[in-house]
Amino acid sequence: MTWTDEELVARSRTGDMDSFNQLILRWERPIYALAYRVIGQEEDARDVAQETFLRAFRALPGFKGQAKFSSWIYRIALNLCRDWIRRKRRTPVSQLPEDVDLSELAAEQGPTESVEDLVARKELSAVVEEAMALLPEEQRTAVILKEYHGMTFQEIADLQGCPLSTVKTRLYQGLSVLRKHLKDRIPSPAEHAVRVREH
Amino acid sequence: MKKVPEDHNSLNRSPYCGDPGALVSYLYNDGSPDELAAIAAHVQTCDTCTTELAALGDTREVLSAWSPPQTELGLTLTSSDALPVAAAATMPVPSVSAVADVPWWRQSTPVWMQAVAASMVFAAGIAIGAGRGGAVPATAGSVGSAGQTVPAEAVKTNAALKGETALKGDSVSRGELAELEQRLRAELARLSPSSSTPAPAQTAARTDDEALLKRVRSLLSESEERQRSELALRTAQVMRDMEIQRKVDMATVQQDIGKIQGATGAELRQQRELTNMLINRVSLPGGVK
Repeated sequence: MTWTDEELVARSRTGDMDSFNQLILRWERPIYALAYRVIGQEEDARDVAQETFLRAFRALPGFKGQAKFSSWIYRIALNLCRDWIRRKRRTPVSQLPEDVDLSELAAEQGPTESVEDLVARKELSAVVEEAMALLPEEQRTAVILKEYHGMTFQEIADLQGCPLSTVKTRLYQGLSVLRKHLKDRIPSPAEHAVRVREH
Repeated sequence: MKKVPEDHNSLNRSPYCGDPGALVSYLYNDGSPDELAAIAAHVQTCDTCTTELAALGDTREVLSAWSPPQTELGLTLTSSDALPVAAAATMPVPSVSAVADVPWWRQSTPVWMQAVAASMVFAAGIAIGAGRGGAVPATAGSVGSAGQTVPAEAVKTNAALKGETALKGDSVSRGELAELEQRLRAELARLSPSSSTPAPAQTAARTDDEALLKRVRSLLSESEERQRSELALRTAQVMRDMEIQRKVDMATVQQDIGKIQGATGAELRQQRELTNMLINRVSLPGGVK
């Protein structure tokens, strides 16, 4: 039987640790992905995810169910990301590690994706990360929440504590900046072929 | 804030044209059905908005390529400390009930007990070596008190340590060690024939065992302390020797440099004199031609 988030929260509040661990299992990947995209550092994103669940667990007695558990946990994660950004005081810059073994990555991805495709995807991913790092924090967060977490404008507005129209404007401006940046950066198929040969 | 494109046909103007909010709502299909329908109706007749939406759609497609690393997270919390203990799940948990069903004398000897027994044999070896005052053969194993063979490495270590432990800081007397050896012999002799049947006075035996273990532990800790002191002394000695050697080397190097400088100076003087002489000769009337 699959419990809902609310049911698992209720059981967790009675001290059922297994229920809370089920919630973690359900939400750890989205929270980690959010943290990674916002702060751009793999290890730190993992730390933020851990801290998010730890804080949620400790704050569970105060969680009265006035919001969805997912919204609540996202809010905690975003606050931690914001703290992290303030602490580091640097623009998140994510980059493909230099020592990436492409053949190993290809093996991990399974036989359906060729090395060339993998290289192209990794490069594209790096370009997107670079472009995202250019956005102001509010725009970046709005784009991430909408694009990768499928939240509604209203949910984003609640999380960011701003009017719904502001969320839309942030999204539009963010997407416009990304479009301009990506237009110049995305290599043509011929450039791709040359890069793959170089690898 | 509305941004109306310049080339936009005024006939197509609608409250949604160029409106970022409307475009984004339509792009993500997030809005009331009426609003979305009205925007869709406008977009069908507006090339500018259609182009803009297509460009934003392309951007969204590129954004989908960005995925976070697929690392194994495995985050869990425990009720005790609410800390992530991903590794704890793989730790083996000893089955207490299964062990408790077997009588203690039939249970397999725990590792720690085996280690203690080995240490006792080791300590007995030290006592024997110290008592004899002679060299212990290091090439072969020696037979312990209960017929157990002590590995050659242990005997070597024993021989190596003997000179140090016997001479320095004898906080444990030889008599005590000999007594311990006697007790060990007696204990092992008493235990070996009765291994198939329980001893009549198990409680007393356990008390003796505990006292013995305490004693062995204290001996071991004393031995470790001595070894630590010895290591510290040796380290200090090595450092002193190195410092002395370094100073000697520095002095030698300085001496050599001085010699080289002296030799170079003399050579320079000779060169200068030779040059002066040549200049003098050349400058004389009817000099060198």
